[in-house]
Amino acid sequence: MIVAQGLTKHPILLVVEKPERAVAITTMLTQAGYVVKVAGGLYDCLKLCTQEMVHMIICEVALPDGNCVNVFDKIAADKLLAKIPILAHSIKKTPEEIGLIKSRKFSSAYAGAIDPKVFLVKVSDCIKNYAPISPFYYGAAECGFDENLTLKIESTVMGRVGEQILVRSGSEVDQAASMVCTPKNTELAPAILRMANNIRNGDEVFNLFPVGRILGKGRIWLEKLPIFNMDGGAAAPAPGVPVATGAPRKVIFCDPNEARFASYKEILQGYDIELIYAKTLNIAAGLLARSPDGIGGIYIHELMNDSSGNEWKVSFAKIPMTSRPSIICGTTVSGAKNTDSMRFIKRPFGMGILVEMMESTFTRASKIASVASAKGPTQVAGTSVALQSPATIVGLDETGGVLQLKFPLARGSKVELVHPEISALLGVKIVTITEVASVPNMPDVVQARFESIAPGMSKGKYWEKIAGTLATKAAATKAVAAAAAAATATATAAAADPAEDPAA
Amino acid sequence: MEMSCLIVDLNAGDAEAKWNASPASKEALLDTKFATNPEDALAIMASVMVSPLIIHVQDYSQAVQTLLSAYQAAFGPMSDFQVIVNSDPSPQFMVSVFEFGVEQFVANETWVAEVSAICRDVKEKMSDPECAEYKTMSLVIAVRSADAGQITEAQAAAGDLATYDFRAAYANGKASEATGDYSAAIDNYKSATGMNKLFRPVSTRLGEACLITGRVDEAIEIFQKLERSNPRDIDRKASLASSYIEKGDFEMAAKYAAEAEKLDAGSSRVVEIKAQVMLCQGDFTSAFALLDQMSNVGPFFAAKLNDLGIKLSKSGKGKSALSLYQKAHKVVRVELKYKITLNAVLACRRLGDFDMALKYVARCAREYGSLFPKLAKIKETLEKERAEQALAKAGTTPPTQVG
Repeated sequence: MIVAQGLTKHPILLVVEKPERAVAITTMLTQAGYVVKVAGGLYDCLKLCTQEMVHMIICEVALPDGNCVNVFDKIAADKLLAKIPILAHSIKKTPEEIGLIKSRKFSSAYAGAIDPKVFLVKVSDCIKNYAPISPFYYGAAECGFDENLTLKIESTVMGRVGEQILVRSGSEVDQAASMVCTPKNTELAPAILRMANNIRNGDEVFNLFPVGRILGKGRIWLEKLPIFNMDGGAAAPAPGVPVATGAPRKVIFCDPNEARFASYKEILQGYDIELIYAKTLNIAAGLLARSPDGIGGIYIHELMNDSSGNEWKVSFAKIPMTSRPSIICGTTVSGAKNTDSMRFIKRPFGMGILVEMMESTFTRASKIASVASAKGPTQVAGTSVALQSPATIVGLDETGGVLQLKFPLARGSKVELVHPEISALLGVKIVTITEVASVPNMPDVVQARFESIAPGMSKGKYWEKIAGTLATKAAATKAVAAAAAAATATATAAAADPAEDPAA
Repeated sequence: MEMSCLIVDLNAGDAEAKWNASPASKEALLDTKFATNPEDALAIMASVMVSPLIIHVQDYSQAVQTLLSAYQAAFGPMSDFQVIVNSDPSPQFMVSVFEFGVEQFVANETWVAEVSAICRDVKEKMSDPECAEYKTMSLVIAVRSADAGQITEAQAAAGDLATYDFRAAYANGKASEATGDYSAAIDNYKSATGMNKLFRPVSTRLGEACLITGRVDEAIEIFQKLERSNPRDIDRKASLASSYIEKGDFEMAAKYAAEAEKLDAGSSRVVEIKAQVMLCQGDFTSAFALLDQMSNVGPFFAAKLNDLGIKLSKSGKGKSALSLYQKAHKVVRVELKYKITLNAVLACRRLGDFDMALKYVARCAREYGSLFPKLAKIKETLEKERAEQALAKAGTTPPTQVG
C-alpha cells in the first residue's frame, strides 16, 4: 500500500564527538523538517535510542567513549533497535576512519566537511530507503490483520440551532468528512452527517452539521430535535424569522475586489445575511473594533502574506473573547487547519457551501456553552450517539500507526479504533490524530498518523510491549504465505510433469 | 449501473490531452467521454449513462444551462456528480449554477485528481443497489424512459427513501409529474424543500407545479423568495411574469417581463411571455407567429399550448390545431413532446383522419418510451374506427363475429 509523504516527522539522533559540532547540523536538519536529538557518545546514543526510538542515527566515526563501529555493533545486537539505519560520518577522512566505516555495512556514509545540500540528500535518501515511515513499522497486511476498522467519536446531539444540528463531540470533524451518526438508542435510525463546522470554547468542541446536508433515515429524528435556543429560553421565533443563534447576521466581507463584494451582497441578502464591505484587513479591524457585538462573522477572501495580517492579529486580540466573531478565510490550500477563531473554506467553492458556512459563524461557542450549562442537561436533546466512519489500518509503529480513509481527519482529533485485534494489542481505545496527508493524485485517499502511546510513556517500553506480537504475527503470515506458495509450486510442477501412464 | 464520465471542455482548451496525460486519470475507474460543444455532449448523454458531468468553462452561458438542464432531466438532481472546472468563478456564475443545485467547483490546476476521485465515488455508489444515489438515479431514469412499469419498479425499490432523502423526493415529484399527477408532485416537492431549503431546483419545480395547477399566489410566493437570492435569473423572471399574467396583474407581469428582457432580449423565455400575453388578449395569430422563436419551452407554457390546441380542435378548427401542435412540438422540452403528440392524435381523430392519427400514436409511443395504457386504448379505438370507415367507404357493413 502506498503511504502518503509527510505523515511522519522523522526523529534523527546525531552522535558527535564534540557537542559544538552538532549545532550547525541540528539547525540544518530541523529546518529540513526532522526532529533532532544529540548524543555525546556511545553511552548516550544507546540510552537515547531506546528512549526516543529514533528513525536514523548519524554517527561520527570517532566518539569520546568509542567509535561508530561500536555503535553499529551495539545497535545490531539489540533486537528492538536493529532496524535503525546508521549514517557514518568521517570528518577527517583519514584511512583509519575510512577503514572503520568499511569494516561494517553502514546504511550510508559521508566523508569530509559537510556540504548542506549533499548531506541533506544523503539523509533523505537513507530515510527513504530504510525508514520511509519508520524503521520499526509493520504493515497491517504483513502481520495478517484484517485491515478494516471503524473510527468512532462518542458524542451527544444537543439540538437544533437554526438550520444546523449541534453536537458536542470533544473532537473536531473535518468539513469534507461524512460521518455515520449512530444513536445509542437502537430505535433511532442512523444518519450521515456532512459539512461539519467546528466551534471551540476553551477545551469544549462543538460540531454544527447543516440539516439540509443530512442523508439517511436518521434525519427523521434529527429534524424533530428541540431547538437549542440561544436566547436562553425565549419564545420560539415566528415562522420565516431567522432563529437566534447568538450573533447578528452581519458579516464583514474583506476583499480588495469591490465588485465581488457587491455581487455577494446582492445574493446573500436573499439569505438574510447582511454584508459590510472592508477593502483591507485594517478597515475590517476598524469596523470590528467599533462594534464587535454587532458583527456576526468575518469573511476574508484571501489572507495576504504581509504586515496587514499582524496588525489584524493585534486588533483582533484586543476584542474580548465572548465578543469575537468567527472568521471564515478563503484558501486554495487543501486541508488547511482551522483554529479557534478561524475556519478555512477551500476556494473555489459553491454558493451553498458558503451560505452554510456563514450560517455556522452566527453560532457562538461561548453562548452555546453558557446556555448549555445554565439550562442543565435536561433541557437540551442530549441524545448519545457515535459518529462513525469506516477506515483501514495501514500499519503500526513505535508511537501508533497509520490509518487510511476517504476524508481528512482534523489534527488533534481523538478517535476510537474499533477493531477486534488492534485496540487490544495497543492497549488503548482512543488514539490521537497527529498528521494527515493525501496519497499523491488521489485527494479522496487520505492517510492519518495516529498516536496510541500514553502521555509520558517511554517509546521504547511501549514498542517493547507490542513489537514481539507484531514480529510473531508477521513471521506466521510469512510462513503461511510461503507454505501456500510452495503448495502452488508443487501443484504446478505436478501438472507440468504428469505421472507416467503405467499401461504405456 | 454502468456510468461514463463526461468531460465537456467549453473553453476549447486541452482538457482531453491533460486528462489522458495525467497518471491520476488512470485511477478514475470509469469510462471517459469528451466533448467540446453542447451538441456533442447531448448526443453522448442520449447514448450512454453519464455521471459525473464535468464542465470546463470560464463563465455562465446558454451552453452551461443547456448541459445542466439536460443532465438534470436525464439523470436527476445529483449535485455531487456535477462539477465545474473554474479556479475563480464569479458570484453570479456560482449562483446561476446553484439554480441547478450545482455547487462543486474545482481548480484548473487540480481538476484531474479531483475529478478522478469523484469518478471513484460515482463508481462505488452506482455499483451498490442499496445506495440512495443508485435508487434515486434509477427512479429518474425510469421517469425519463416514461415506462410506467419501470417507474413503479423503481419506486418500489426506493421504498420510503423519499421520506428522508430530498433527492428521492424530487425524483418522486418528477415521476408524479410524468403521469400528470401534479398534486402528488407538489406534495413531493414540498417534502423535498422541507428537507433541504437550499436545493433550488426543487423549489423552482414546486413553483412551476403550483402555477400549472392554478395555485398562482403560492407560485408567486415561491418564485419571489428564490428571486431575492438570485435577482438575475431570466427563467424565474419569466415565471414570475407568467404567474402575474395568470393572476391578472399585468402591471407586475410587465415589470418582470421588462426585467427579463433587459437581461436577455433574445431569450426564448421573453418571447414566451409575449406570446402568453397575446394568448390572454385573444390575439392567437400573433402568438402563433412567435412560436418559431421559442425553444425548450417548459411545462406551463406547453400546457397553455395544449389547451389552445384542444379548444381549436373542439371548435372544429382541427387543421389549425394540428399546425399549432406541429409548431409546439418543435419548441417544447423533450419530456413534454409526447403530450403534444397525444393531442395531435385526438385532433386527427376528430378530423376523421385515422391513418394520420395512428402515425401520431406510433410517434407518441416512441416519445413516451412505451405504449402506455391510455394510448393503447386510443390506438385500439382508432383501429376499429379506421376499419369501420373503410367498410363504410366500400358501402358494406362489417360481418358479425361468430363464436
